[in-house]
Amino acid sequence: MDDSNGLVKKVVKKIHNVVDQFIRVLSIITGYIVGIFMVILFFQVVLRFVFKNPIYGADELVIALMVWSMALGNAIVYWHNEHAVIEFCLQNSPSIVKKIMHHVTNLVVLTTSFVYIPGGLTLFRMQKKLIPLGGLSFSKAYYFALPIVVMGVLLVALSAVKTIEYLILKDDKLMMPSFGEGGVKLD
Amino acid sequence: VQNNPTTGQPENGTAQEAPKKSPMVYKLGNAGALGEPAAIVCQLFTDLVNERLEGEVVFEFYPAEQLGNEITMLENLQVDLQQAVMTAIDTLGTYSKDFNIISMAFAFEDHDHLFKYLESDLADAAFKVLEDQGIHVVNFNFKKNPRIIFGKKPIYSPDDLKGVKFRIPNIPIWEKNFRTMGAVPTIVAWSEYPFALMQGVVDAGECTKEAYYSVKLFEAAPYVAEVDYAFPLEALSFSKTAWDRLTPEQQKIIEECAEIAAEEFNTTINTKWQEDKKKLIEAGVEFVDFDKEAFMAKMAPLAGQLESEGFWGTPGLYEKVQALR
Amino acid sequence: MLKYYFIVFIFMILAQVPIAFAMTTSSVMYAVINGQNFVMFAQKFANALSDFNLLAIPAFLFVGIFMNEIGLTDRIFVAAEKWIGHFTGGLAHANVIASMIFAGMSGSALADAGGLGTIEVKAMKDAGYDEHFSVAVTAASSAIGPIIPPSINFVIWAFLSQTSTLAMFLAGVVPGVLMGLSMMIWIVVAVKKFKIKAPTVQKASWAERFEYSLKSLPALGGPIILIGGIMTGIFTPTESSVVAGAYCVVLSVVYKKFSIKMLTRTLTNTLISSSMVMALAATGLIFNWMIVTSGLITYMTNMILSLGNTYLVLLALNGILLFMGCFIGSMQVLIMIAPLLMNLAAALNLSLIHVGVIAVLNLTLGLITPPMAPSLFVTAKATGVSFDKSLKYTVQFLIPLVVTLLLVTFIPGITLWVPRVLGAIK
Ligand code: NA
Ligand code: NA
Repeated sequence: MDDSNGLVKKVVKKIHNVVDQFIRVLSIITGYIVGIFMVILFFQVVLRFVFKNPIYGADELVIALMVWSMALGNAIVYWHNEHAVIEFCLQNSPSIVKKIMHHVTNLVVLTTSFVYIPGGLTLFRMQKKLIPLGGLSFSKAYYFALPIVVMGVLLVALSAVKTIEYLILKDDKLMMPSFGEGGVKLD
Repeated sequence: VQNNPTTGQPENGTAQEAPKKSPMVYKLGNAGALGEPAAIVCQLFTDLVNERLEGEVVFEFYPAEQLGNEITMLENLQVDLQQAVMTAIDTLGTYSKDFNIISMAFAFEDHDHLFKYLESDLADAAFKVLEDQGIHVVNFNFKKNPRIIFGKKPIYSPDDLKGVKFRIPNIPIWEKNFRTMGAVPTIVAWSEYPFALMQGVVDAGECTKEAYYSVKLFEAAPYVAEVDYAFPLEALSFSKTAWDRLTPEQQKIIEECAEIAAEEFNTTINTKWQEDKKKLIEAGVEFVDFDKEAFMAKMAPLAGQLESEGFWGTPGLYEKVQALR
Repeated sequence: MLKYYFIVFIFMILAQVPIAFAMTTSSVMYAVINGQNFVMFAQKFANALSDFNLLAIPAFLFVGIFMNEIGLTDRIFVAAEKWIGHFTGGLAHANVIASMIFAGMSGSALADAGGLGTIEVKAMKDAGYDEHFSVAVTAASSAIGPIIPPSINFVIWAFLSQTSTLAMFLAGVVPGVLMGLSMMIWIVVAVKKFKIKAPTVQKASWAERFEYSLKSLPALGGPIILIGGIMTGIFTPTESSVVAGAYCVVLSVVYKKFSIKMLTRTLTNTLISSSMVMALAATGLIFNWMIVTSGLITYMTNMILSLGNTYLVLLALNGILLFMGCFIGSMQVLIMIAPLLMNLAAALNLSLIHVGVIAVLNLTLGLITPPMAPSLFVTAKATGVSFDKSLKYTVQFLIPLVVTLLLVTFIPGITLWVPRVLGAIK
């Protein structure tokens, strides 16, 4: 029994590390996408002011990159437990309450993020026929509905992993925000 | 912007008999802010229809993009998230490509010509395409004033647009129109339009006559050419599913109310422009003497180009439309 | 009329479910029960992420995070000290002025409180100032951050209320300066009345003043590009943010702080922060659809309007917002309450720009109000000074700030004058 239990833990840890590594790479790539669209926008400003001739299509490309990066970012933030919460009520509650709420949150993400998949696919089909906007060569469906479907799939998968790994590993660190210190200061 | 949906539901509840059925709620959306002509007419329609349907169906009106922008609202119709919408007829071209021709500059000579097309067999097919996608057009007789071109300098002919940064909304055919005219199309949001003109983000633009006055675009760009390059209409569309839920009597009432609202709209818009124009001239706006032939000549190659790029499905649509003059 | 889904929502956010997911959950419940199509969820989410005005959010966050990485902002404080350090409470004034300038490139109060704040507190302590008072000034002055442009909360409000971001930014200038001035007046009063230890420093020579002002120029470049660009209308707010971003990158190269590692870190930080904001905005759009179309907002509006008098309504609104701001992050409140505010604005015939500034100012005061006082929390933690002992002085700053709030609430011209003069609104 102990052996198989140990094996399960090992497998779950392995899965955690793989997912974590995947998210790490994904966040670097996505971070650079954010950098790229800011650079495009900057050059667009320069072209407009210095050369009086902005590139038609650049703005829409920026939008496309923004939707993709922010949709992926939503899943990344969830993996790191960095989404905004109200701490006031539970900050001094016993740890059992926090554990329950950890599971409730994951369950909520698991069930409600599912709606993005069928909803996004229907929208994708509706938008696929649209004439491309703003000078791009592909229709809006590919940077509107599609990233949302991908986000839905990621959220569902990540919440499943989170639920299971905590049940098996019972490691309280899994409930903590795990991104670099001081990254998220918004107020 | 106001989130208060407005209904004309009778306060006292007309003494209902035994099993009281809760009314069907129909959401009507529009992009215009409260006080804009389209929003006013939507409100009028809502009031009319709620009075005559006597609580069987209750319409709620949501102005100012509360239910989303025009394309979003049409998507809502397709899945019955919202039951009715008033949009520019141009927007219907998103789902039924042939209607893109309505937005092509100088494709129509006046409203009559446009209506000849919309009431022809040619357009029937296009309306059918909409029906197949769940959009049922009830009335398109809401006539706005024709679209004009204006700038910081006088625009007599397309030559004066050469290299000029020209404001367009993010709609592909608009880009084609003004690139063909020689301008540099620049996408600017409607809310930033006056400021963009003032600061030189754009130096010229277009809009309907009523908007030119009401949004005060004339302050930064006081030279107007009343080229009437397009004849905008507002169309009242229903979700096909929601429309089919109604009884024939209810459908008839709705159609009648839409017609009354449209007549009211058309009268108001027209009178208003006569007043606005006087005020514009007093404010120093110059209505330039432009060369319409030059514009039309410059636009000649566009029809073929649009057709080859798939802006409409019917082959030879432009020529067929011209034959209706 | 309190609907089941709304109760579920309240319960969930109090139980620490992330607000974005709580909003989705109650909307999903509503959609399932009313047989609504799920297309709405994908559509609203993408609508928010594809909004051109929201592009400003990643760009502003990038500038803020990058500026902190380069770390030239303390020069602003030192330069301010040279000019006014010799007055009563001189360093405290320099602290406020530095925050006003810092606000010109950062949309966040906490970035100020935790970054520049530590340097300010240290300098004041070294000069013999009461450390609790120093922390209080730092925490309170950081609240100017979201009011003087750029401001993420203003971007969010402009997005939700379909007003111009530019107009919102311009509207924040005067209220932000008023906040600073009122705090400076309070500093003089407090130092004298409570006999707070606040030794004046030696008066600097003109040569020194110019020398240090010159040294602070690189750091001043950020706010000059941002506010200057916006106010002269050379750039739109979004454009000015990418130009300022480019300026930051150049600065970091000049000061040899640039490395790929640092760039990667900044970009992923930007991604995380902005995705979090965008997720809130996106799910907020979904949530708003629900509370608007279900009639909840109409009900709440009528309830508040039953107070009758515009002044009473505005006072009640201030009260509600101040209260919520004490417990919940400002942007989260803003997203939840936007439809209600827009409704009230329409009913009372108030400008959406005016209402937006009132709301954000209220919520910002929550940053220094117990029990959470996040600004004070961050400053106290970063400087190792007691939160509890600094609380008294911090709360006193609510006096000048609430006066500012009331002026802004009841004199619309304070907010609307600049956008009107510069042509952003008619
Ligand atoms: Na700021
Ligand atoms: Na400060």
